[in-house]
Amino acid sequence: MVWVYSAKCMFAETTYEMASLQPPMLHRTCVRIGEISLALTGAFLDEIPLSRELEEFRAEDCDADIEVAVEWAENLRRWHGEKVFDSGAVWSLFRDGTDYVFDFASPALGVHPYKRLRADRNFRTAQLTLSREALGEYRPIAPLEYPADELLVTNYLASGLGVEVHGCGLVDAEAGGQLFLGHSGAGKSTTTVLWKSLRNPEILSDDRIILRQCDGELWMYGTPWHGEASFASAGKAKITRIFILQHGERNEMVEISRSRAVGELFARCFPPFHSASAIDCTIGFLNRALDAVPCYEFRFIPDAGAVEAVLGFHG
Amino acid sequence: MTDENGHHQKKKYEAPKITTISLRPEEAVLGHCKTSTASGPVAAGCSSGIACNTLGS
Repeated sequence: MVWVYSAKCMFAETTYEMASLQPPMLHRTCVRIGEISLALTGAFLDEIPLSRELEEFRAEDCDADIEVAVEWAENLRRWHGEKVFDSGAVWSLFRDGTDYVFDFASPALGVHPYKRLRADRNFRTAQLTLSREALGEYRPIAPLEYPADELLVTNYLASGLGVEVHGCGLVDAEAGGQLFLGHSGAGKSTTTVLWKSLRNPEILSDDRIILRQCDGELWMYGTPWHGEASFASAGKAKITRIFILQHGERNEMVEISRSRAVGELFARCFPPFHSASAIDCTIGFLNRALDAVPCYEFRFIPDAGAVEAVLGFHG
Repeated sequence: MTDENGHHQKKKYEAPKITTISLRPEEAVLGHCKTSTASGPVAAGCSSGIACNTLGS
């Protein structure tokens, strides 16, 4: 942990503007997910703890891609700007000029927002405001608690830098990186556990993987947002093919057309639905990813034969 | 494309097909969780009353 002062830190501008001529000393914590560095800045160390899941992704002090300033407000009231998206879950999205404003609310914490995330249009700088009224009694609070962390990273990626997909990724000592995409119930956790028991690979995630391209190669990265099997690793691996999981009556790989593959991948990713340009960039990224690697539907039976089928497939 | 006599043949027309690929909103939008464990209103990660224990996989 280091002491720094960030001139562009919104926290400093809003809270200490009149307090002192001396720049405040701020605490800073960094995480790195999918080669994206995110810095969390707060006035006190206990304002910026990381969740247990994010600890695995803690990084040394970084030149952050995303700067997040944390502050506490006495309370928050529902944002009355232009609502552009309702997640149906704990957050809603509004526009305020060129900024995005995410309001987080849950009946468990009352009718008012318990947290607000304001981000610039490129998701390079953001301000997280926590409501003392809603959260004060539960301190310490991890400000980046899901889904705030994931929203920041996926929106940042959505300019064409990459995409987060619904899948399990593992790195076999001999066969290398293997990526299996699937909806709920398709067999991601089953596949993870099968491989773990038979091959003991490094599991990058049993639920969410970030895809990025580097020099024409497709790489996958582990994320903190794990699934039922609770595997989350900060590792990465190059992949040479993508499997879409489907339960079947026997183990078989079925090659699928490019257009269908893009559609199937899109249906298993997490694009920012509020932004047409972000959707466009996401589809463009998926299309480029499929220039790099083929995609197969993997119809499988959930037993050791499925692992053998993948290891023996060189299509 | 040419036939065995060297005559140019047009590629047979194939009508475009529409393939429906299902999108599951509750899985594609972040913030949904699979199970609620009510392990306390605000715990780490997804294990809270705000969210849940496991992501909506």
